[in-house]
Amino acid sequence: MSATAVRADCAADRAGTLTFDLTDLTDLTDLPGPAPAPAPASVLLLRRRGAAGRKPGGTVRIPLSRSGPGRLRAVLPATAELPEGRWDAYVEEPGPESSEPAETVVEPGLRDLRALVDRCPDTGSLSVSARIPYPTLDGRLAVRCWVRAPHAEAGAVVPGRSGMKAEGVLYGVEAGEGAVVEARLPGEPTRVHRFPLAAPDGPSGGFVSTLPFAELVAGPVREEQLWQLWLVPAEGARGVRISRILDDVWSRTKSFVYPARPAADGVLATPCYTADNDLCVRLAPGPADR
Amino acid sequence: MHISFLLHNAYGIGGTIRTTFTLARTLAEQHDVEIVSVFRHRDAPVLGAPEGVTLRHLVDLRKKSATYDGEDAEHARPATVFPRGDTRHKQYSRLTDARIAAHLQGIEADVVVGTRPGLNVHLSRQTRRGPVRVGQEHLTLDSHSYRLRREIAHRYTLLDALTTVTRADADDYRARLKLPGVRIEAIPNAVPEPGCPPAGGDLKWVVAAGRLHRVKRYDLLVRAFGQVSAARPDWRLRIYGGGDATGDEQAALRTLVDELGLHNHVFLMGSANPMEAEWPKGSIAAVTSDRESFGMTIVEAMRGGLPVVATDCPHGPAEIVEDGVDGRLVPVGDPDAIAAALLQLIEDDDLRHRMGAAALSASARFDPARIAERHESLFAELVARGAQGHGPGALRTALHRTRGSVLDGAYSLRYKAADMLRKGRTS
Repeated sequence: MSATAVRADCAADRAGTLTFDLTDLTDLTDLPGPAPAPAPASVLLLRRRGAAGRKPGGTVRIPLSRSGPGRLRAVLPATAELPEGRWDAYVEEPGPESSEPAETVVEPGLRDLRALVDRCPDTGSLSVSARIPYPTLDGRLAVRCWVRAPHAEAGAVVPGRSGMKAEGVLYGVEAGEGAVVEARLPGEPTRVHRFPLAAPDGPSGGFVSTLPFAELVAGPVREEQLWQLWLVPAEGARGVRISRILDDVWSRTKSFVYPARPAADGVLATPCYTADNDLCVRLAPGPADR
Repeated sequence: MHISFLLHNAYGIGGTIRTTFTLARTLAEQHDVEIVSVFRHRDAPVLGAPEGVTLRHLVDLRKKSATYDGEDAEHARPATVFPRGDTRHKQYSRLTDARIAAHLQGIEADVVVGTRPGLNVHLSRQTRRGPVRVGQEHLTLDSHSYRLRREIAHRYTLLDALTTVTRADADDYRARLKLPGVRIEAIPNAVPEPGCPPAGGDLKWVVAAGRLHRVKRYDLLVRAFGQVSAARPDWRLRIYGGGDATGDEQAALRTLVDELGLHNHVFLMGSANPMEAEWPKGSIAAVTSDRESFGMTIVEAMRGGLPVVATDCPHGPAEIVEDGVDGRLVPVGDPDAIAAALLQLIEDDDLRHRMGAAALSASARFDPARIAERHESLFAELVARGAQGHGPGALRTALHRTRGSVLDGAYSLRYKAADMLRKGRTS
């Protein structure tokens, strides 16, 4: 941890606006003295993780305004554009003269994300976005952002004896004739399986599909296969990735966990989420004759 | 006042560390406060150094440190002052015996406070004459081994006061140990006001939090929630908390969730730090333990504006929750009763909001300022008494040194011989 970290308390509102309240953090190590408070000329810098962060549009700068003694506030309005990805937060302070500006790591403080719980935007909205401030594994503040147009939000996943029922809601597009859930195996474009949607009987935009796991098994499974699930709203239409992004959970790999079921002899299938909250079915070698 | 806390390890994570930091930070607003950590295994305290409090250590266990003590030959020899009955005995040594002794014999404080039985014993045996000696019990008397109970029955007699976190435990100490002259007082743990607004009471989630351990009886809660979600499938349950190294309890809970088909209703969220931003994501909290030495999560939830459904288990819940007013108390081990109480609050929006508001105002009594005041007035009274000559002066110390012959407590009679022998060896 940097000795001069600042801490940001975050709050989200129902519309998707994020507020960051920065305080200078008294140094936790043995070094004497408190960390310097960020100067008002500083900005909150969000930098997209990976190579994208070094390309144009890979950084977003949010002005800081004084909101109280020793406190600075940055507001990222819901309307501000933020492409999908992981954005690491820094405080950027102008350096002397023409030198490089200094960047200070931001520690996550209190993240009041109650407004993100159980979001249900209008199913007619053409695009859906989600922004969740979260602590990285090494204790820094980052913002996970999704932008989907259209979007298929995963809902209940009901494991059956050897298959699953997937429920969800479509945003920005309606399921028509020939709508299916499509299972794709990355790297093997020929391996695609389609499962029809059940006749809708719920609220508008809702979809339900049943996936028998056996159909995904073409032969012995020697190593793990991660099948992605897409919703294709009409025959020939572009697929929409099925993900779960409309709440406060930035990663649900360990909390939204479903049991494994036998898909075929020696093959186990498990519905799961990726670290990006995309819904998948994992096939893995398992005990035979189950 | 100059107040000195003696803590096992200020650099780790745990309820005692958290609550000691809260108390020390609050007392430091008015007094000169230090925390002396017996051990130090990392550079910075995980929970963040309490503001305004001097923090130092006695034994350095940081391998990369120039003052690393782990190789000291004395550290390999088992402790004789730190009681064997304390579960931490294995971590203590002749080195800690000596370092703590040197610290307590040279201490400048007006009040010295021990934070676990083993350290309270150090306090009573090694503090120089003068400072007021206060032992704190963060667990309960009945959670201690027979051996530890016997050791503290004998050693605590030289304390000026012992504080417990519940009245039930204070009564236990009074009834089961003979500690004449030791003031026994119940002062609950403090919980700061959360840094975010209280829960709105309309999100359809029940929240529980605490490490995944059998004693927390999350199995009961999950079973109860099976009934809840059958009646109200729109409500769901989040359980926050990490499993232990074995992961057994987590695996058992997952199996139960699978058996009951609750994958879309019950979620094991992992640990959340800080937890205070998680409570307001729910509208009801649940604590279904078999036992709670205090019930910190109950208070935390109430400070977040949630009514709590808690089992009426020993020792804390009944002293925190007023049944039917700011939460519900249900019998221990009864999933039907838990489900009924949860459903009562789920079905009646007005009741839920009313109890949430009541929980919010009732839990203000656990505010650090108010809790610190109670410790402060106890300390001040004892210091004043000491100054008047009724304190742990030479006479009282001498009296207690010979108490084996004047007390007829069962423990002291039965173990008098052993105690005399040990005393001869170590003092």
